[in-house]
Amino acid sequence: MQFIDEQTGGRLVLGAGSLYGAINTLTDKGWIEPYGDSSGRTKEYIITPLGKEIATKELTRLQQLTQTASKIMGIK
Amino acid sequence: MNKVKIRYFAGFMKSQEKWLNAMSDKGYRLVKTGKLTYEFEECSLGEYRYALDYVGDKSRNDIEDYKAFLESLGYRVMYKNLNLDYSLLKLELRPWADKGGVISTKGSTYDKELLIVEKENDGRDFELHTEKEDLIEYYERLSNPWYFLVFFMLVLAILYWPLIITTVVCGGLAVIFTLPIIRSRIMIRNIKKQLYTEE
Repeated sequence: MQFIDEQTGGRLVLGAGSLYGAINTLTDKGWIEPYGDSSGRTKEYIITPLGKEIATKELTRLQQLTQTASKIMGIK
Repeated sequence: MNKVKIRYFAGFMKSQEKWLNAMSDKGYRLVKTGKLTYEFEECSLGEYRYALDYVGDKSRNDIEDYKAFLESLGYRVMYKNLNLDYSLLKLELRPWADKGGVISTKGSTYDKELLIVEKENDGRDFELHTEKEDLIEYYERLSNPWYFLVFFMLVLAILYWPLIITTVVCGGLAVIFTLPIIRSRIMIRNIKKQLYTEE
C-alpha cells in the first residue's frame, strides 16, 4: 500500500479491504499463490506463470495504447 | 482511569467512525467494546484513526482470516455488534450470508458483524474500501440484509391483512427498510458512472 502511494505520488491510495479482496481474487484466478511458510506475521505471495502471462499481455495492451495516443497527439 | 461511554449507532457506520475519530481527537483511544459501551484510555490528541467494516455476511473463518490480514498490516482490530437483541437462543439465520455464515451462533459470528479497525494517525484519510469494483461489491453486501427485511415485513403485512394495525406497522417498516437499499443503489450508480467515464 505504501509502495502504491509512493509510486503514484499519493494519487492512488489503496485501502486494506480492497487489497484483501484483490489478493483473494488473484489467488482464485490462479494468477498468484502463497509463497513460503504462512506461519509468519506477513503473508507473502508470488506470481504464477499464468499470472505473468496475463500481466505481460496487459502491459503490451497498455504500451499500444500509449503509442497510439502519442501518435494521435503528435508526440514522439 | 478509563472512560466508559454508552452509545448505540445501529447501522450508521459512518457516524460511529466520526464519533470514534472525534474521541481520539479529544485524547481518548478505544480499548474495549461492549454491546452498548465503549471503553477508552487516554492517548495523545488525535493519535489514532478509525474505520469500520461490515463482515456480518462472512463465515467465522473468513472473518478471522481478514482480521489476521489487517493485523499483519499493523492495524488493531476489534469486534462490534450491529444488532441489539438479547435473545436467549443466540442464533440467527442470515439467508443473505456467504456459505458457512448462514446460521449465526453466539460462539461464531453473532455480535461480530462489524470490525472496528484502528491505525496510528498519519494525517491522511483512513478508508478500507477504495477501489471502485470493490466498493460496488461492498455496497451490495451492505444492502443484502435489507432486501430480506423488506420482504419479511411485506409477508407479515399481507399475512395479517385484516388487522389494520399490523399491516400499517409492518408496511411502514418495509418502507423504512428500503431507505438503506436506495442509498446503496445511489452510491453504486455514482461509482458505475465514474467507472464508465474512465474506460
